Amino acid sequence: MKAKDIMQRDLTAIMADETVERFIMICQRHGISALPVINPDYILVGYLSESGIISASLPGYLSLMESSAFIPDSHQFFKGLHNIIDKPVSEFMDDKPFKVYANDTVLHVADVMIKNKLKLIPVIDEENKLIGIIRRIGLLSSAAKGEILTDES
Amino acid sequence: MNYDILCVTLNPSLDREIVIEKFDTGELYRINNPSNSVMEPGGKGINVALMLSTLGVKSITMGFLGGFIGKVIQSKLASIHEITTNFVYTNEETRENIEIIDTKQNKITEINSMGPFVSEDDYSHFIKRYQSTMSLTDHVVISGSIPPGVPIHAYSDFFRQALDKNKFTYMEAIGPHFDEAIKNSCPMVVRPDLRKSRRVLGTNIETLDDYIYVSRKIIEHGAKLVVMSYNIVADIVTTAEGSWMFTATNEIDRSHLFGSGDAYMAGIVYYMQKNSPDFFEAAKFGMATAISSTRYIGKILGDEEEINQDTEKFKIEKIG
Repeated sequence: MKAKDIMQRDLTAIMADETVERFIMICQRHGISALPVINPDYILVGYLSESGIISASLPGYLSLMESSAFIPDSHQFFKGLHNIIDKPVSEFMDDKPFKVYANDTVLHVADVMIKNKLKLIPVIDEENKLIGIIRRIGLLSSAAKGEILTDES
Repeated sequence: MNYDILCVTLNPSLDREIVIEKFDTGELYRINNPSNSVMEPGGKGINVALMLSTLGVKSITMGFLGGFIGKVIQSKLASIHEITTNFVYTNEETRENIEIIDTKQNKITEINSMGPFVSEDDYSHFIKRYQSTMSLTDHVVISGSIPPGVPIHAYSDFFRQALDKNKFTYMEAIGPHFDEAIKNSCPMVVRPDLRKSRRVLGTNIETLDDYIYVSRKIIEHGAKLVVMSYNIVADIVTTAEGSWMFTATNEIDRSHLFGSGDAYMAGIVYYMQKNSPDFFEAAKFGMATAISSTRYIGKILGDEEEINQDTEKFKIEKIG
Protein backbone atom coordinates (compact mmCIF):
# COMPACT_ATOMS: atom_id res chain seq x y z
CA MET A 1 0.00 0.00 0.00
CA LYS A 2 1.23 3.47 -0.98
CA ALA A 3 1.03 6.90 0.64
CA LYS A 4 -1.41 8.00 -2.08
CA ASP A 5 -3.80 5.18 -1.09
CA ILE A 6 -4.27 6.39 2.48
CA MET A 7 -3.85 10.16 2.06
CA GLN A 8 -6.65 12.69 2.28
CA ARG A 9 -6.90 14.27 -1.19
CA ASP A 10 -7.15 17.79 0.19
CA LEU A 11 -5.04 20.82 -0.72
CA THR A 12 -5.74 22.90 2.38
CA ALA A 13 -2.50 24.75 3.11
CA ILE A 14 -1.11 28.15 4.03
CA MET A 15 1.22 30.41 2.08
CA ALA A 16 4.43 31.81 3.55
CA ASP A 17 3.25 35.45 3.42
CA GLU A 18 -0.02 34.76 5.26
CA THR A 19 -0.35 35.54 8.96
CA VAL A 20 -0.19 33.41 12.08
CA GLU A 21 -3.76 34.53 12.78
CA ARG A 22 -4.89 32.99 9.48
CA PHE A 23 -2.95 29.82 10.30
CA ILE A 24 -4.81 29.46 13.61
CA MET A 25 -8.16 30.15 11.93
CA ILE A 26 -7.63 27.53 9.19
CA CYS A 27 -6.49 24.89 11.70
CA GLN A 28 -9.42 25.62 13.96
CA ARG A 29 -12.05 25.56 11.20
CA HIS A 30 -10.65 22.44 9.52
CA GLY A 31 -10.00 20.70 12.82
CA ILE A 32 -6.33 19.96 12.10
CA SER A 33 -3.20 20.70 14.11
CA ALA A 34 -0.66 21.57 11.41
CA LEU A 35 -0.56 22.87 7.84
CA PRO A 36 1.74 22.44 4.86
CA VAL A 37 3.18 25.77 3.68
CA ILE A 38 3.09 26.18 -0.10
CA ASN A 39 4.17 28.73 -2.70
CA PRO A 40 1.66 29.99 -5.32
CA ASP A 41 2.51 26.99 -7.56
CA TYR A 42 1.53 24.54 -4.81
CA ILE A 43 5.16 23.56 -4.23
CA LEU A 44 5.78 22.56 -0.63
CA VAL A 45 8.07 25.09 1.05
CA GLY A 46 7.45 24.51 4.75
CA TYR A 47 5.41 23.14 7.60
CA LEU A 48 3.86 24.79 10.62
CA SER A 49 2.18 23.12 13.58
CA GLU A 50 0.37 24.24 16.70
CA SER A 51 3.44 23.38 18.74
CA GLY A 52 5.52 25.54 16.41
CA ILE A 53 3.29 28.49 17.29
CA ILE A 54 3.39 27.69 21.00
CA SER A 55 7.18 27.61 21.12
CA ALA A 56 7.38 30.80 19.06
CA SER A 57 5.10 32.48 21.59
CA LEU A 58 7.30 31.62 24.55
CA PRO A 59 10.46 33.46 25.58
CA GLY A 60 13.50 32.10 23.74
CA TYR A 61 15.17 30.38 26.68
CA LEU A 62 12.07 28.25 27.39
CA SER A 63 12.05 26.68 23.94
CA LEU A 64 15.46 25.20 24.78
CA MET A 65 13.87 23.10 27.47
CA GLU A 66 12.38 19.74 26.71
CA SER A 67 9.29 20.15 28.85
CA SER A 68 6.77 22.95 29.06
CA ALA A 69 6.36 22.17 32.77
CA PHE A 70 9.01 24.85 33.34
CA ILE A 71 6.83 27.69 32.08
CA PRO A 72 6.58 30.03 35.06
CA ASP A 73 3.45 31.87 33.95
CA SER A 74 1.02 31.25 31.03
CA HIS A 75 0.49 34.98 30.87
CA GLN A 76 3.86 35.18 29.09
CA PHE A 77 2.54 32.81 26.49
CA PHE A 78 -0.55 34.86 25.70
CA LYS A 79 1.50 38.05 25.51
CA GLY A 80 3.96 36.29 23.24
CA LEU A 81 1.20 34.99 20.98
CA HIS A 82 -0.30 38.45 20.76
CA ASN A 83 3.06 39.75 19.53
CA ILE A 84 3.35 37.28 16.66
CA ILE A 85 -0.28 37.05 15.54
CA ASP A 86 0.10 39.47 12.62
CA LYS A 87 3.49 38.18 11.52
CA PRO A 88 3.92 36.02 8.41
CA VAL A 89 4.03 32.25 8.68
CA SER A 90 7.46 32.27 6.97
CA GLU A 91 9.06 33.51 10.22
CA PHE A 92 7.95 30.49 12.22
CA MET A 93 7.62 27.63 9.78
CA ASP A 94 9.98 24.70 9.46
CA ASP A 95 11.50 25.34 6.05
CA LYS A 96 12.86 21.81 5.69
CA PRO A 97 9.59 20.01 6.22
CA PHE A 98 9.15 16.28 6.60
CA LYS A 99 7.27 14.99 3.58
CA VAL A 100 6.51 11.79 1.70
CA TYR A 101 6.02 11.08 -1.99
CA ALA A 102 2.79 9.70 -3.43
CA ASN A 103 4.44 6.35 -4.21
CA ASP A 104 6.27 5.89 -0.91
CA THR A 105 5.11 2.83 0.99
CA VAL A 106 2.83 3.29 3.98
CA LEU A 107 5.48 1.51 6.03
CA HIS A 108 7.90 4.32 5.20
CA VAL A 109 5.23 6.92 6.04
CA ALA A 110 4.70 5.27 9.43
CA ASP A 111 8.42 5.28 10.04
CA VAL A 112 8.79 9.02 9.41
CA MET A 113 5.67 9.97 11.33
CA ILE A 114 6.36 7.87 14.42
CA LYS A 115 10.08 8.66 14.69
CA ASN A 116 9.45 12.38 14.40
CA LYS A 117 6.22 12.48 16.41
CA LEU A 118 4.30 14.11 13.53
CA LYS A 119 0.54 14.50 13.71
CA LEU A 120 0.34 15.25 10.02
CA ILE A 121 2.63 14.84 7.02
CA PRO A 122 2.33 16.46 3.56
CA VAL A 123 2.23 14.18 0.50
CA ILE A 124 3.86 15.54 -2.67
CA ASP A 125 4.25 14.50 -6.30
CA GLU A 126 7.51 14.25 -8.25
CA GLU A 127 7.46 18.03 -8.89
CA ASN A 128 7.27 18.68 -5.11
CA LYS A 129 3.66 19.86 -5.45
CA LEU A 130 1.29 19.22 -2.58
CA ILE A 131 -1.32 16.57 -3.45
CA GLY A 132 -2.67 15.63 -0.01
CA ILE A 133 -1.94 15.01 3.63
CA ILE A 134 -1.75 11.99 5.90
CA ARG A 135 -2.89 12.41 9.48
CA ARG A 136 -1.66 10.21 12.29
CA ILE A 137 -5.19 8.98 12.89
CA GLY A 138 -5.48 7.96 9.21
CA LEU A 139 -2.30 5.94 9.57
CA LEU A 140 -3.51 4.35 12.80
CA SER A 141 -6.83 3.44 11.29
CA SER A 142 -5.18 1.74 8.26
CA ALA A 143 -2.86 -0.10 10.63
CA ALA A 144 -5.75 -1.17 12.86
CA LYS A 145 -7.55 -2.64 9.85
CA GLY A 146 -4.41 -4.62 9.06
CA GLU A 147 -4.01 -2.89 5.69
CA ILE A 148 -0.38 -1.92 6.15
CA LEU A 149 1.36 -5.19 6.88
CA THR A 150 -0.73 -7.54 4.74
CA ASP A 151 0.79 -6.55 1.40
CA GLU A 152 4.28 -5.63 2.52
CA SER A 153 5.36 -8.37 4.90
CA MET B 1 -0.17 14.84 -10.34
CA ASN B 2 -2.50 15.70 -13.21
CA TYR B 3 -5.99 16.96 -12.66
CA ASP B 4 -8.43 17.11 -15.57
CA ILE B 5 -10.70 19.90 -14.37
CA LEU B 6 -11.27 22.51 -11.69
CA CYS B 7 -14.89 22.73 -10.50
CA VAL B 8 -15.77 25.88 -8.57
CA THR B 9 -18.94 25.87 -6.47
CA LEU B 10 -19.05 29.04 -4.40
CA ASN B 11 -22.27 28.02 -2.65
CA PRO B 12 -22.34 24.22 -2.17
CA SER B 13 -25.27 22.55 -0.49
CA LEU B 14 -26.13 19.34 1.22
CA ASP B 15 -28.96 17.92 -0.87
CA ARG B 16 -31.39 15.90 1.20
CA GLU B 17 -34.10 13.87 -0.45
CA ILE B 18 -36.87 12.53 1.73
CA VAL B 19 -39.64 10.35 0.29
CA ILE B 20 -42.94 10.69 2.18
CA GLU B 21 -46.21 9.43 0.78
CA LYS B 22 -49.21 11.76 1.20
CA PHE B 23 -47.06 14.46 2.77
CA ASP B 24 -48.93 17.24 4.56
CA THR B 25 -47.99 20.05 6.93
CA GLY B 26 -48.56 19.68 10.65
CA GLU B 27 -48.10 15.90 10.62
CA LEU B 28 -45.45 13.58 12.08
CA TYR B 29 -43.73 11.19 9.67
CA ARG B 30 -41.25 8.47 10.57
CA ILE B 31 -38.78 7.28 7.96
CA ASN B 32 -38.39 3.52 8.38
CA ASN B 33 -36.54 2.78 5.18
CA PRO B 34 -33.13 4.55 5.09
CA SER B 35 -33.23 4.71 1.30
CA ASN B 36 -36.19 7.07 1.67
CA SER B 37 -33.94 9.66 3.27
CA VAL B 38 -30.65 10.24 1.47
CA MET B 39 -28.12 13.06 1.48
CA GLU B 40 -25.56 13.98 -1.12
CA PRO B 41 -23.15 16.86 -1.63
CA GLY B 42 -24.63 19.32 -4.10
CA GLY B 43 -24.26 22.61 -5.91
CA LYS B 44 -23.77 22.71 -9.68
CA GLY B 45 -19.97 22.53 -9.78
CA ILE B 46 -19.85 19.69 -7.27
CA ASN B 47 -22.52 17.81 -9.25
CA VAL B 48 -20.38 18.03 -12.39
CA ALA B 49 -17.32 16.76 -10.45
CA LEU B 50 -19.35 13.89 -8.95
CA MET B 51 -20.78 12.83 -12.31
CA LEU B 52 -17.41 13.06 -14.07
CA SER B 53 -15.80 10.97 -11.33
CA THR B 54 -17.92 8.03 -12.51
CA LEU B 55 -16.14 8.39 -15.89
CA GLY B 56 -12.74 8.46 -14.20
CA VAL B 57 -12.19 12.22 -14.65
CA LYS B 58 -9.99 13.69 -11.92
CA SER B 59 -11.11 17.02 -10.51
CA ILE B 60 -10.29 19.58 -7.88
CA THR B 61 -13.40 21.01 -6.22
CA MET B 62 -13.24 24.47 -4.66
CA GLY B 63 -15.61 26.90 -3.00
CA PHE B 64 -16.77 27.80 0.49
CA LEU B 65 -17.82 25.33 3.15
CA GLY B 66 -18.73 25.97 6.74
CA GLY B 67 -19.86 24.48 10.00
CA PHE B 68 -21.27 21.05 10.62
CA ILE B 69 -22.92 20.68 7.21
CA GLY B 70 -19.69 21.75 5.55
CA LYS B 71 -17.87 18.89 7.29
CA VAL B 72 -20.49 16.40 6.08
CA ILE B 73 -19.96 17.55 2.47
CA GLN B 74 -16.17 17.46 2.85
CA SER B 75 -16.18 13.91 4.19
CA LYS B 76 -18.60 12.66 1.51
CA LEU B 77 -16.40 14.15 -1.24
CA ALA B 78 -13.25 12.81 0.43
CA SER B 79 -14.49 9.26 -0.10
CA ILE B 80 -14.40 9.67 -3.89
CA HIS B 81 -11.04 8.74 -5.32
CA GLU B 82 -11.17 11.05 -8.37
CA ILE B 83 -11.94 14.16 -6.31
CA THR B 84 -9.40 16.40 -4.56
CA THR B 85 -10.92 19.01 -2.24
CA ASN B 86 -9.68 22.55 -1.67
CA PHE B 87 -12.36 24.50 0.17
CA VAL B 88 -12.08 27.73 2.12
CA TYR B 89 -13.99 27.42 5.40
CA THR B 90 -16.40 30.10 6.53
CA ASN B 91 -17.68 30.91 9.96
CA GLU B 92 -21.32 30.32 9.11
CA GLU B 93 -23.00 27.07 8.17
CA THR B 94 -23.22 25.70 4.59
CA ARG B 95 -26.76 25.56 3.21
CA GLU B 96 -29.08 22.60 2.83
CA ASN B 97 -31.54 21.91 0.04
CA ILE B 98 -34.31 19.75 1.37
CA GLU B 99 -36.71 18.02 -1.02
CA ILE B 100 -39.72 16.16 0.20
CA ILE B 101 -40.87 13.87 -2.56
CA ASP B 102 -44.45 12.70 -2.38
CA THR B 103 -44.81 9.76 -4.74
CA LYS B 104 -48.56 9.35 -4.08
CA GLN B 105 -49.66 12.93 -4.80
CA ASN B 106 -46.80 13.44 -7.30
CA LYS B 107 -45.61 16.59 -5.55
CA ILE B 108 -42.25 17.94 -4.48
CA THR B 109 -41.87 20.32 -1.52
CA GLU B 110 -38.57 22.17 -1.43
CA ILE B 111 -36.84 24.06 1.36
CA ASN B 112 -33.68 25.92 0.30
CA SER B 113 -31.48 28.00 2.57
CA MET B 114 -29.32 30.89 1.39
CA GLY B 115 -25.80 29.87 2.30
CA PRO B 116 -23.18 31.24 4.67
CA PHE B 117 -22.08 34.86 4.78
CA VAL B 118 -18.59 35.08 3.29
CA SER B 119 -16.40 37.70 4.99
CA GLU B 120 -14.04 39.93 3.03
CA ASP B 121 -11.00 38.12 4.46
CA ASP B 122 -12.34 34.71 3.49
CA TYR B 123 -13.19 35.97 0.02
CA SER B 124 -9.71 37.35 -0.61
CA HIS B 125 -8.24 34.12 0.74
CA PHE B 126 -10.34 32.25 -1.81
CA ILE B 127 -9.23 34.50 -4.70
CA LYS B 128 -5.60 33.72 -3.89
CA ARG B 129 -6.27 29.97 -3.73
CA TYR B 130 -8.26 30.11 -6.98
CA GLN B 131 -5.42 31.80 -8.84
CA SER B 132 -2.97 29.14 -7.69
CA THR B 133 -5.24 26.16 -8.17
CA MET B 134 -6.19 27.24 -11.67
CA SER B 135 -2.57 26.65 -12.73
CA LEU B 136 -3.04 22.92 -12.04
CA THR B 137 -5.70 22.30 -14.74
CA ASP B 138 -6.72 23.29 -18.28
CA HIS B 139 -10.51 23.26 -17.79
CA VAL B 140 -12.39 25.51 -15.37
CA VAL B 141 -16.08 25.02 -14.54
CA ILE B 142 -17.75 27.69 -12.39
CA SER B 143 -21.41 27.05 -11.68
CA GLY B 144 -24.34 27.80 -9.43
CA SER B 145 -25.40 30.61 -7.13
CA ILE B 146 -23.19 32.89 -5.04
CA PRO B 147 -23.47 33.08 -1.24
CA PRO B 148 -24.11 36.38 0.61
CA GLY B 149 -21.01 38.57 0.85
CA VAL B 150 -19.56 37.45 -2.50
CA PRO B 151 -19.61 40.39 -4.97
CA ILE B 152 -21.71 40.30 -8.17
CA HIS B 153 -18.53 40.56 -10.26
CA ALA B 154 -17.00 37.38 -8.74
CA TYR B 155 -17.69 35.12 -11.75
CA SER B 156 -16.62 37.84 -14.13
CA ASP B 157 -13.26 38.22 -12.29
CA PHE B 158 -12.65 34.47 -12.10
CA PHE B 159 -13.39 33.90 -15.78
CA ARG B 160 -11.22 36.86 -16.77
CA GLN B 161 -8.25 35.25 -15.00
CA ALA B 162 -8.99 31.82 -16.51
CA LEU B 163 -9.35 33.24 -20.04
CA ASP B 164 -6.10 35.23 -19.65
CA LYS B 165 -4.36 31.93 -18.90
CA ASN B 166 -5.97 30.26 -21.98
CA LYS B 167 -8.11 27.83 -20.00
CA PHE B 168 -11.24 26.19 -21.35
CA THR B 169 -14.09 27.80 -19.44
CA TYR B 170 -17.64 26.65 -18.63
CA MET B 171 -20.48 28.31 -16.72
CA GLU B 172 -23.96 27.27 -15.68
CA ALA B 173 -25.93 29.68 -13.50
CA ILE B 174 -28.59 32.40 -13.59
CA GLY B 175 -28.90 35.90 -12.13
CA PRO B 176 -26.95 39.14 -11.98
CA HIS B 177 -23.55 37.46 -11.36
CA PHE B 178 -24.13 35.28 -14.45
CA ASP B 179 -25.11 38.26 -16.65
CA GLU B 180 -22.10 40.21 -15.40
CA ALA B 181 -19.71 37.41 -16.42
CA ILE B 182 -21.26 37.20 -19.93
CA LYS B 183 -20.88 40.95 -20.43
CA ASN B 184 -17.32 41.32 -19.09
CA SER B 185 -15.46 38.05 -19.63
CA CYS B 186 -17.69 35.54 -21.36
CA PRO B 187 -16.72 31.88 -20.81
CA MET B 188 -16.59 29.50 -23.80
CA VAL B 189 -19.53 27.33 -22.83
CA VAL B 190 -22.59 28.98 -21.28
CA ARG B 191 -25.70 27.25 -19.98
CA PRO B 192 -28.32 29.47 -18.36
CA ASP B 193 -30.10 27.61 -15.56
CA LEU B 194 -33.69 28.46 -16.49
CA ARG B 195 -35.43 26.50 -13.72
CA LYS B 196 -35.86 29.31 -11.24
CA SER B 197 -35.72 32.37 -13.45
CA ARG B 198 -36.04 33.00 -17.19
CA ARG B 199 -34.41 36.38 -17.20
CA VAL B 200 -31.07 36.54 -19.02
CA LEU B 201 -29.34 39.79 -20.08
CA GLY B 202 -32.54 41.77 -19.46
CA THR B 203 -34.76 39.56 -21.66
CA ASN B 204 -37.49 37.33 -20.32
CA ILE B 205 -37.09 34.08 -22.27
CA GLU B 206 -40.49 32.73 -23.32
CA THR B 207 -40.87 32.09 -27.05
CA LEU B 208 -38.53 30.09 -29.27
CA ASP B 209 -37.44 33.39 -30.83
CA ASP B 210 -36.40 34.63 -27.37
CA TYR B 211 -34.23 31.54 -26.94
CA ILE B 212 -32.47 32.14 -30.23
CA TYR B 213 -32.19 35.90 -29.67
CA VAL B 214 -30.59 35.59 -26.22
CA SER B 215 -28.31 32.70 -27.29
CA ARG B 216 -26.99 34.83 -30.17
CA LYS B 217 -26.42 37.73 -27.81
CA ILE B 218 -24.30 35.49 -25.57
CA ILE B 219 -22.35 34.29 -28.63
CA GLU B 220 -21.73 37.96 -29.57
CA HIS B 221 -20.24 38.46 -26.10
CA GLY B 222 -17.67 35.75 -26.94
CA ALA B 223 -19.16 32.37 -26.04
CA LYS B 224 -18.40 29.46 -28.42
CA LEU B 225 -21.38 27.39 -27.34
CA VAL B 226 -24.68 28.23 -25.64
CA VAL B 227 -27.07 25.50 -24.50
CA MET B 228 -30.56 26.15 -23.13
CA SER B 229 -33.04 23.62 -21.90
CA TYR B 230 -36.33 23.88 -23.86
CA ASN B 231 -39.70 22.28 -23.01
CA ILE B 232 -38.09 19.66 -20.76
CA VAL B 233 -37.05 17.11 -23.43
CA ALA B 234 -35.31 19.45 -25.88
CA ASP B 235 -32.31 21.76 -25.86
CA ILE B 236 -31.51 24.80 -27.98
CA VAL B 237 -27.85 24.69 -29.03
CA THR B 238 -26.20 27.78 -30.49
CA THR B 239 -22.70 28.34 -31.91
CA ALA B 240 -21.32 31.07 -34.17
CA GLU B 241 -22.69 28.98 -37.10
CA GLY B 242 -26.32 29.08 -35.99
CA SER B 243 -28.93 27.49 -33.72
CA TRP B 244 -30.20 23.92 -33.56
CA MET B 245 -32.86 22.12 -31.61
CA PHE B 246 -31.94 18.74 -30.10
CA THR B 247 -35.04 16.73 -29.21
CA ALA B 248 -35.01 13.41 -27.36
CA THR B 249 -36.81 10.82 -29.51
CA ASN B 250 -37.23 8.00 -27.02
CA GLU B 251 -39.53 8.06 -24.02
CA ILE B 252 -37.65 9.57 -21.07
CA ASP B 253 -38.36 8.79 -17.44
CA ARG B 254 -39.30 12.27 -16.31
CA SER B 255 -38.93 11.51 -12.63
CA HIS B 256 -35.19 11.13 -13.25
CA LEU B 257 -34.78 14.44 -15.05
CA PHE B 258 -33.50 16.06 -11.85
CA GLY B 259 -29.83 16.83 -12.44
CA SER B 260 -29.88 16.16 -16.18
CA GLY B 261 -28.73 19.77 -16.73
CA ASP B 262 -25.59 19.05 -14.73
CA ALA B 263 -25.14 15.82 -16.69
CA TYR B 264 -25.33 17.84 -19.93
CA MET B 265 -22.52 20.10 -18.71
CA ALA B 266 -20.50 17.10 -17.48
CA GLY B 267 -20.82 15.55 -20.96
CA ILE B 268 -19.60 18.71 -22.69
CA VAL B 269 -16.59 18.98 -20.37
CA TYR B 270 -15.79 15.28 -20.81
CA TYR B 271 -15.86 15.56 -24.60
CA MET B 272 -13.74 18.72 -24.60
CA GLN B 273 -10.99 17.27 -22.46
CA LYS B 274 -10.84 13.90 -24.27
CA ASN B 275 -11.05 15.17 -27.87
CA SER B 276 -9.88 18.04 -30.00
CA PRO B 277 -12.02 21.08 -29.20
CA ASP B 278 -15.19 20.94 -31.32
CA PHE B 279 -17.99 22.72 -29.52
CA PHE B 280 -20.87 21.40 -31.65
CA GLU B 281 -19.71 17.78 -31.22
CA ALA B 282 -19.31 18.47 -27.49
CA ALA B 283 -22.93 19.67 -27.37
CA LYS B 284 -24.06 16.42 -29.02
CA PHE B 285 -22.11 14.37 -26.52
CA GLY B 286 -23.58 16.52 -23.72
CA MET B 287 -27.11 15.77 -24.91
CA ALA B 288 -26.34 12.04 -25.03
CA THR B 289 -24.90 12.24 -21.51
CA ALA B 290 -28.03 13.98 -20.24
CA ILE B 291 -30.25 11.31 -21.85
CA SER B 292 -28.08 8.55 -20.44
CA SER B 293 -28.20 10.09 -16.93
CA THR B 294 -32.00 9.81 -16.82
CA ARG B 295 -31.55 6.05 -16.46
CA TYR B 296 -29.95 6.56 -13.05
CA ILE B 297 -31.05 8.01 -9.76
CA GLY B 298 -28.29 9.97 -8.04
CA LYS B 299 -25.34 11.86 -9.43
CA ILE B 300 -23.87 9.16 -11.63
CA LEU B 301 -23.48 8.62 -15.37
CA GLY B 302 -23.35 5.55 -17.55
CA ASP B 303 -20.00 4.59 -19.06
CA GLU B 304 -18.67 6.10 -22.28
CA GLU B 305 -20.00 3.25 -24.42
CA GLU B 306 -23.51 3.71 -23.06
CA ILE B 307 -23.35 7.46 -23.67
CA ASN B 308 -22.15 6.87 -27.24
CA GLN B 309 -25.20 4.68 -27.86
CA ASP B 310 -27.40 7.54 -26.66
CA THR B 311 -26.07 9.82 -29.42
CA GLU B 312 -28.66 8.03 -31.62
CA LYS B 313 -31.54 8.86 -29.30
CA PHE B 314 -32.24 12.46 -30.26
CA LYS B 315 -32.90 14.36 -33.46
CA ILE B 316 -31.19 17.53 -34.60
CA GLU B 317 -32.96 20.30 -36.53
CA LYS B 318 -31.46 23.57 -37.65
CA ILE B 319 -33.70 26.40 -36.43
CA GLY B 320 -31.73 29.54 -37.11
